[in-house]
Amino acid sequence: MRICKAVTVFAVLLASVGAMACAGAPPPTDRMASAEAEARAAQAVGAEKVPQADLEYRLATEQLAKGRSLMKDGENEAAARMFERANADAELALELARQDAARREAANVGKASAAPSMNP
Amino acid sequence: MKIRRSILVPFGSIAALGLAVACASSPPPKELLDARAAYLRVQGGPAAKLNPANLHDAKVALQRAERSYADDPDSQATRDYAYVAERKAALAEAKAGTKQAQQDAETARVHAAEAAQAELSQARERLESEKKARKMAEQRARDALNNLATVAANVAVKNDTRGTVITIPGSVLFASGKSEVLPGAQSKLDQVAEALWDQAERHIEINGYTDSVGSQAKNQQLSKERADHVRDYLVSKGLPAENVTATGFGPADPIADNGTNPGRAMNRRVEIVVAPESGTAPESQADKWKQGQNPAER
Repeated sequence: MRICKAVTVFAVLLASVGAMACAGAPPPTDRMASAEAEARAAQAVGAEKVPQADLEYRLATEQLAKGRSLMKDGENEAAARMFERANADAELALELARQDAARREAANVGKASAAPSMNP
Repeated sequence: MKIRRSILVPFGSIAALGLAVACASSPPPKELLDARAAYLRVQGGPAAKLNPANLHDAKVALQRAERSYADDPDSQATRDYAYVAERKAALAEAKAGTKQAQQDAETARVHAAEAAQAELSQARERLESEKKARKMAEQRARDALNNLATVAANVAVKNDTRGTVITIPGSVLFASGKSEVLPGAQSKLDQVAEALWDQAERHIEINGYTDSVGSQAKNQQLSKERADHVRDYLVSKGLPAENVTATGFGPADPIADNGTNPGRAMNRRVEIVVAPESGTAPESQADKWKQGQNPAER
């Protein structure tokens, strides 16, 4: 019984420290701003027009919304991680759109050089 | 010391076992499995060579997720970190793909430029050799024309402002007062025609002349008929009819004294004028005629 009591006290202490830590984490506005900027950049390079990039872009915007909601509820640590997820998705969306553009260009150059050239 | 160590070792083993049991008790979340698989895939792909920096980022992210999993296997943080790690691996892969595509484009551009360059120099060479061949053909044609005098007796060749002028005495070609080409003169005209084949693109004038003996009208007519017959003969030998014109000048433009027999013989003649190569119109006797400088009236 005595051991149980001690464990309970310890658990309560631990929980309160955890709560303090949570309360202590500031709202992750920087991470939110960073993820938002990344999502805008992805949109600017046309991520929505490339299927795979579009998927990542949508995930980014969804998770941005989740992060904002978590932040509103004071779940700052969870919100910070959610913004990090959104950021990673947006980065990937941006790069997939870039990759698509680069591949298209390479194909075009190849096609142009494969075309029969003018005879003098 | 011996005793202590013997006690410690089993303790360590038990602790490790306990950890392993804890791990085994909660299997890795799907996110972490995905992240591990993604990292392995990307590490074995072109990203390792093309994009090591982003691959390293992915590795750091995966290590964070693994640490989180070791500390707290079931936490949302573990799933979040693993999710980010999976995306980082995919990002490294995508960046490598972009780089590869850019390199491919560059290579294709270089190949295209090289091919264009090669084609250009080939075309240039072709043009050069064509030019050379044309020059040689022109030289051959000029030589043929200029050598005509040495090949055919009684034929004079000179170059003046009108072009190359081949003069054949009338007595060689025609019987007195007639305009038909003598059978014996045909071989001479054959030689002329042969020399003129190479000049087929140039304009050729056949000009007939008489001496001043007899009526103007009759001389005019005779010179025209003689020029026509020579023209017809040359055309029958293959010269293009559209490039060969015939004109009669009667006693105009004498080249010798009409007061003497030899002079008159020289004036009775047919001149074959080959226009210069440049294509610029030579100072044509026919043009002079058209401009009102009728040599017959002089």
